[in-house]
Amino acid sequence: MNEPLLEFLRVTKEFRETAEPVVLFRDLDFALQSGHSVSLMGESGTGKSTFLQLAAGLDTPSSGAVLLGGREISSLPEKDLNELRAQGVGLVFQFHFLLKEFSVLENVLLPAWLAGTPRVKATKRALELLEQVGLSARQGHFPAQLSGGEKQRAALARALINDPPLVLADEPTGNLDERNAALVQDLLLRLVVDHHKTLLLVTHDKVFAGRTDLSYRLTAGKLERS
Amino acid sequence: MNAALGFLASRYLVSRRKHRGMGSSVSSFVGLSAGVVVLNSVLSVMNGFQLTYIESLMEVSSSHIRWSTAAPHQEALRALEGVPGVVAVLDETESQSLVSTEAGGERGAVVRGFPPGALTRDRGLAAHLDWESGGMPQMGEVALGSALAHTLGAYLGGTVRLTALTGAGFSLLAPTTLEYRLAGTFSTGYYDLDATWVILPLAEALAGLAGPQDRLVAIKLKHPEDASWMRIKLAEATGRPPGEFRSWDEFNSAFYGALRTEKTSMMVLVGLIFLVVGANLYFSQKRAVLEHREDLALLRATGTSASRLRLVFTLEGLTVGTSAAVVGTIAGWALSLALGSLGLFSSEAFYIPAVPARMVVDEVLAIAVACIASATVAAGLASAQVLRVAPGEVLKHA
Repeated sequence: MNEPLLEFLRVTKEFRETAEPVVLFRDLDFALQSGHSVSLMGESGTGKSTFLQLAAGLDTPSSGAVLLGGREISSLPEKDLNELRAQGVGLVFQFHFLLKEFSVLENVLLPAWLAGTPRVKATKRALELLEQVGLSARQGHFPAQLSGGEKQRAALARALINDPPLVLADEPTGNLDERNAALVQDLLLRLVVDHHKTLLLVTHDKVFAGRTDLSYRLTAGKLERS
Repeated sequence: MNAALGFLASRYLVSRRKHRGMGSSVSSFVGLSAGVVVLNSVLSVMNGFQLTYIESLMEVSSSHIRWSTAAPHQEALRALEGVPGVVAVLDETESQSLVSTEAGGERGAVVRGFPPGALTRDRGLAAHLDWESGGMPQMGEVALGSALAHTLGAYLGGTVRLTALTGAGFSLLAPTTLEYRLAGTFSTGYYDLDATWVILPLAEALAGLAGPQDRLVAIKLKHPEDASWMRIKLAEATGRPPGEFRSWDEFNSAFYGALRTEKTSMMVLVGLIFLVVGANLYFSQKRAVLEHREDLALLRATGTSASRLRLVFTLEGLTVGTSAAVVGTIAGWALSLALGSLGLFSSEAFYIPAVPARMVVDEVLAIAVACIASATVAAGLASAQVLRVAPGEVLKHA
């Protein structure tokens, strides 16, 4: 078997802000093979989003190691960690987090441009992605002029702009109505397949979760296959 | 820094202006521009006055180098004229006298004795003696500063009496009064000179009013700023101690020192505006970082380093500071020019034909740099707030 793209090795995450430390999970192991799509379910507050943030290098484990592409994220120097965030993972959140002062096209191309891709090249790729998410006609519009579904589709395009091997999606349809949620779900899963991406999806939607290759449930700090 | 950061910074700046109208960046820009305008125009006027005075004093009164010597030999004068960089050497006297006229006025005065052809030999002197009536006195004649003539009620062709104590030794001092015909009145642009100066032909001064202790040699240089070290060369050329030669800045040091102190104090006081506007910009940029914390969290999550994001906000300060410096300098320059022609002051009451304004490049640059630095440093310090944005926390709880 190939080396996993994402791996959690005996990862513990606890918060010590209160007198009594809150342990989200202890000695957790997890592996995600390249090209697979995996969903993570669980009740609110069980640590799903934290799990995703550990995978993205946005948080650090209390102990244990998170490996992405064989490199331990938490021990990376700031420069390498930034490079990994830019090139290694694509993030989609429940909220779109589009920059309101920028057009849809600019929102999509900015992460690539900031990462050093020439603007012309970044624009070309952004336009391709916008076409794939059905927003070509809206490229010059600003986030305030888009519907919720359109914003989330723009966020999907942004997540893929740097062509990362891993896409991390945190309840990407959580804020959408049924019709738009279905549209975004289809789009996300299709893009992951078309672009040969690996997907780690956090969702409360059992149907959405059922459409991934594997589904896990995070309960009381333990990962269980569901 | 790549272009993307500049793009981000410019969009934030424009967007904030558009959405808030007279936003904090605009008010900072206005404040900084106003500071640059005020500093430039105030200093240019101060420079105008100061340089006018300095030039008058340098060209008419102190000369570039003054050699105090009891009886200068012709060989010594020729030696001085032969030193490279020396453009004029005049054998003169400077003494004190009581001056009075038929009209009954009486004043203390400084009597300067000039040799024949002084105005053709010393172009600087000629340029700064503006003859309001008549001209340089000949034997038996005298010229008065215009303010002194006015005070005494003197008129061209009228009689002017000079009274001085003369005699060899203190016990033999006796008042001597001599009468001259008024041949001209002059103006130097410096009131103190115009109100106290009397010009006589050197031979007349030596004959009646000035003693050996009143002799001096006035030396003009091609480059007056070289006066300090030229003193040494002149001393070598004449074989006299360097202490006998005094440069213009040394001779007028108290006056120039006071001018410099006045100007520095003014710069510091008006420059405080940069501190105030800098503080305003600091707090507004802190607020801007807070307002954009979700953007910043996302950009950090997508791989942009905190230090590069700090640059975005620092760039905004740099842009505001640079624009204010450019606009303020141009407006300050225009205002300085206009001040000279607005006739804000009565020339009779303030003894100035017009408000002189001169911008000095070094000062203009220093003001612009202070303006840009205050805005950039303020924005740079405020941008440290970016470091407080924890992307994970912000994106999780938005």
